[in-house]
Amino acid sequence: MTKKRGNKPGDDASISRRDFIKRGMVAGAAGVGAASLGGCATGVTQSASAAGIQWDYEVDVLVIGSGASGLPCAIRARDAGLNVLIIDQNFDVGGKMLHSGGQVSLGGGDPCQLRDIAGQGDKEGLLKVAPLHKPADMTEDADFLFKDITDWSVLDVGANAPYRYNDREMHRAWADNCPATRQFLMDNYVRFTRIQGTHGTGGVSRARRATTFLMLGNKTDVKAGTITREDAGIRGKSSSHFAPRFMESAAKWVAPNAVWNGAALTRGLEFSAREKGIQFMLNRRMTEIIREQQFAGRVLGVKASYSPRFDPDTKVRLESYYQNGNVDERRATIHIRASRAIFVGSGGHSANPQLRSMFYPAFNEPAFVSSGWAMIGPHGGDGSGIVAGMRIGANLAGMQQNLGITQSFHIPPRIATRDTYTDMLPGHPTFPFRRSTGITLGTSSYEHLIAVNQVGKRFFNELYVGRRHLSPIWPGGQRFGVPTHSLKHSQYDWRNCSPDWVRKMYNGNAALDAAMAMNEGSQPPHFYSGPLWAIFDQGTLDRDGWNINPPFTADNGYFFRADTIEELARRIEKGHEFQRVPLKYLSDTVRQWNSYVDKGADPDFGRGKDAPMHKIDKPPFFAAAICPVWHDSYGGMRINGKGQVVDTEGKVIPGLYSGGEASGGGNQHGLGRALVHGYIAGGSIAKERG
Amino acid sequence: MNDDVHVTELTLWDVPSATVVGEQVRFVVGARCSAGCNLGGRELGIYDQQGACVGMAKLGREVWPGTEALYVAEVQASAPPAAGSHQWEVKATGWDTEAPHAAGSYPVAIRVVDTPDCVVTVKAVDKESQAPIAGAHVVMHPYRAVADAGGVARVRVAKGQYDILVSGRGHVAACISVEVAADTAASAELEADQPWVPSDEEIA
Repeated sequence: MTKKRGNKPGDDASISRRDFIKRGMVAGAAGVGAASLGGCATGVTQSASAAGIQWDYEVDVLVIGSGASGLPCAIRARDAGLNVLIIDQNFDVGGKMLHSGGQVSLGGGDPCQLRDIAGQGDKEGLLKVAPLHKPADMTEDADFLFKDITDWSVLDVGANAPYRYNDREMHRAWADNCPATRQFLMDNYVRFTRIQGTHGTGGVSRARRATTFLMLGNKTDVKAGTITREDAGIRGKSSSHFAPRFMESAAKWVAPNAVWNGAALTRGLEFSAREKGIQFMLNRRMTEIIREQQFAGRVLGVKASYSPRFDPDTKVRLESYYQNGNVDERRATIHIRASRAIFVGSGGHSANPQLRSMFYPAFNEPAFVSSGWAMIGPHGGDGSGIVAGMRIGANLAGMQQNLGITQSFHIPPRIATRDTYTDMLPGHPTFPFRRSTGITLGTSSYEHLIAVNQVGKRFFNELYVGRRHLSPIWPGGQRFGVPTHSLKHSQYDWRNCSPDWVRKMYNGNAALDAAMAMNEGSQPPHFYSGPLWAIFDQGTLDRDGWNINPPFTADNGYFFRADTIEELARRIEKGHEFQRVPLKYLSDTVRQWNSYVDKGADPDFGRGKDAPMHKIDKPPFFAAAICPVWHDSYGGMRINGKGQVVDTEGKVIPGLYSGGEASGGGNQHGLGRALVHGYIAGGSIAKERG
Repeated sequence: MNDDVHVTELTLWDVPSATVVGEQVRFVVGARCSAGCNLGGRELGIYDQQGACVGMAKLGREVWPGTEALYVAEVQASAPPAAGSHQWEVKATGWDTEAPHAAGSYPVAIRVVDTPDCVVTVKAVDKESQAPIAGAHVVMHPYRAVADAGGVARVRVAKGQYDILVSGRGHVAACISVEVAADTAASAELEADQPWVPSDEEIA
């Protein structure tokens, strides 16, 4: 029986360490302590460090990370009768999947495609709308899907080629396993909308998107597919512990009262995992993968540290939404043995300035964070799984692919919060870490501000600051960089990326690069580009109606108001954690901007041609942080078509699996990639010898 | 500067983008002490580019709404007699209140135009619904106007070639090029701005 929050660790919903080990032993584990491990070795002399380890827990399968790849892997292994433990550095389950849109682009004739092609509903009778696309637009097979995701000829409007460098073995396996994965998800309390196009950079011609949903009801009951209005969120007011982001209406794709986003996906899988007996050790960060020898032999287990999170105001430890199946382990460091396999689904490196600056040096700036920063916490997206894999010989793949996909890093059109990607409202336990939801701007809103760098100088035409390149997508069209429409798209066709077409469709801009550029405040040795600020005034609020009230802004160092521009600069310097240098040019910049408005032309960045220019002169004056985000990362451990991690000689590291953002070789945005990885690995692990 | 001397910071708004020859220039000036002193009742001078005083203004006793310590004066002065761009300056002389205050100044750009001879009527509507966009901003540099509740803005301009820039709340701005030789009407159909949802902007 799954229980909601309110259960405390240590009650009947949790199990003791001793009980847990016993359960492990039922599954054939060796027991506790180094002395008992001899029988588990594979004939290779254990490393000195591995030989002396006192194992605190033993399981068949250890899954690192409870996100989009970890949960499917764990459930599938559990379905095969294995004893499975998931550890996660965060206090709750789901990783970034929890704040995602829950959009899952799969294909190859998956059950959602077949359902819509046949004009059928779902088995629960929730789908009340007819299929949105013609059957001919949805009938495809795995071969087409494989070609789709390896289509070298596809470009985006920034002329990046997202699929050109995709690993062929891995994506062949992905395409072949899409239908089974969709069915697997549906068998584990995940409901999908009608097919609706394709998720950006989730495939162009053959992948098909369906989004996860729940129905509004009197009770939040994932098993029954219902959620209360309160848990789904109140627009503009509150989120919930269940769903950190407001769940939007899915009426167009399901029925009235349907709501969608990644909470519907995450909580469904989590509920099923707990119901099936998978154990969760939250607040537990893997810091080392232990192998028989550093570069040889099987992986044996992991070292993991206690990583609790405490409410910054109440100092109370944060607890997970569901709690049954939690293992409440609070020792600083423990060792966990996995007799059959370890799956690394710990996410990517989008929050690790050292790793991400390997690909974009300017992103060494620690002010800028990963998407979901408040929710995933200080260790989320830190690349720890990738680093741990590298230390035992794992090869890497696709590291350059961070640069080939527009979702990787960009400037979201949300200001006045550090956590710009996520529109979390009060109600989720991690809201106090961000304190402000941020002001979400439309494209047109940028005419009402100027954007300045850490010394107060403008850096680009503001109308482009919040615009990122659109992704290639089905049904396509010039706006998305796809020269043809719908099924007319011809895979592997040189015309898709001919110079003529590129000239015609190119719509890139370099606002992010300008924003991250060195400036007068960039000091050695790091040469940080520093924070960015949107500067605006009362006139902006009068014209465009921005809501600067809480929870959209807060006294959190990411929003300031002042009587004069000079006072505004002083307040930023004093109140923002990453403002390392004076905004010494801000006053002159605003005066110069106002003079440009008087002249009707902006000789610096060409404004005045597309939209009216407005002076920034009416007090009070405001500054709101503009924070670029590194959303999802590409590049990680190299895996094969079974999800096994391979080393630099192309050899499998026995017992080590990975998927999702911890793995590399696949430029394919969205949840579809990670979910299938987890499904594949879980199946492979089930076949591993014990 | 002596640390004991407070800085007077000035800011100006509602300066007209164009003033017809012979008319009065009106704008608002605000003054704030860097230490938040009460500046109510203090005087400001307005000077032309030759340094001649063209007006004086006295700061009100009340703090401007929404601010902490900004004191405000409404300025009215005669526009320069000839069309063209002029540079004025608002100056706060050194004041002694609770503490010595250093002088502050702020430039004012005054554009004087000949009497406009045409009226351009611009109607701003939503492209899809054709609903009027109240409060739309219409710029025919240097002339500016705001649309009424019916989405209509009337701009008095001199004859000539113009780019009409139109923007409205929740809509993407549009640009229309016109040759104005007489009273003219124009319609601006603005596309609605799409709200941004993370990762879902391409959703069907």
